[in-house]
Amino acid sequence: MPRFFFDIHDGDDIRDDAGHDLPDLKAVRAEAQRALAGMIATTPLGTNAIQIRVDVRDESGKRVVTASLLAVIEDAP
Amino acid sequence: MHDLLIGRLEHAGLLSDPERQALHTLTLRPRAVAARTDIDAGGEPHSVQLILSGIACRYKIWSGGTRRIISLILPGDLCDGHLPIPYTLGNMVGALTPCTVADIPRQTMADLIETYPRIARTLWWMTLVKLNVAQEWLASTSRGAEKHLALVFCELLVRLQARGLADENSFEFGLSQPDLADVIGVSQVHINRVVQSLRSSGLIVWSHRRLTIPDVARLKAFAEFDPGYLHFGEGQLSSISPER
Repeated sequence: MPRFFFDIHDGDDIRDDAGHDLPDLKAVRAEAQRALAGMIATTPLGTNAIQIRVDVRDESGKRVVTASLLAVIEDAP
Repeated sequence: MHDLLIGRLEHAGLLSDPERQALHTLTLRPRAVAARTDIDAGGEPHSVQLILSGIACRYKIWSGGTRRIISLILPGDLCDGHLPIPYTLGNMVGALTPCTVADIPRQTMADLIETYPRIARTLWWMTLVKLNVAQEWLASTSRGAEKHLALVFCELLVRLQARGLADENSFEFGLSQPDLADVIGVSQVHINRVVQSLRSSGLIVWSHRRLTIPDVARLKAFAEFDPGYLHFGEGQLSSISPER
């Protein structure tokens, strides 16, 4: 099974050195979606805008998927 | 081997000499279980498994292949619900690290419980502690992954210390990040973020299969960890009221 590396950018840059064995790009996209959903749910409260991006590299270092989530929470005008 | 089991039981409640003697005469044949394999009944189909070394877990795999680790089982713990009757829950027990286990026939457990009320009572207390742990995990999941994982680390420190398997702030920790993801119920990618977050804030140091908590009080405060739910048995009260 090919290995993919999921780098997280959420204000900090967390490089994935271990990687994850996944069968195909469909599984990669699903994992990226799960990760974004989980991370945004546990982001510390109190910020107006949260942006999280996950960049996925394959074993050759080529970026194969990029996924991002933006949450904007503001007072109504 | 026997002392490990007796120590666990006495953590929950004091035993009499005949009860200790009865436990000493148990036949415990250690067998090795490789990491990441299930702990079955061995050659003793109607048996309860005692963990002698390593870390095991009870887990469930859902139809989509998602694994959730329900509980961590440490040396001195019995894998099953301490029940003399076999039951199935649709979940399994597996070794997360290399483990050594011994099989105790269910009939032997039933006889011990029948004959020795204090053994029965300590097993009951241990079951209540397991229930407490499960409830604490359940309650903790709603607070966010970082605090939940911090709670699990605090709990492991206290549980391992009670067995002499941790020093004041560190213990051998052979679990992988994917294991931890399934313990706290986050994705395999998300766990990397969670562990990094605890690392970068200096709450944990995790390298070479050793987990160190540089400031135990700080991690406990962050996790809102109160060890009361682990020290639930009469064994803990005995130091206060020795006349029992």
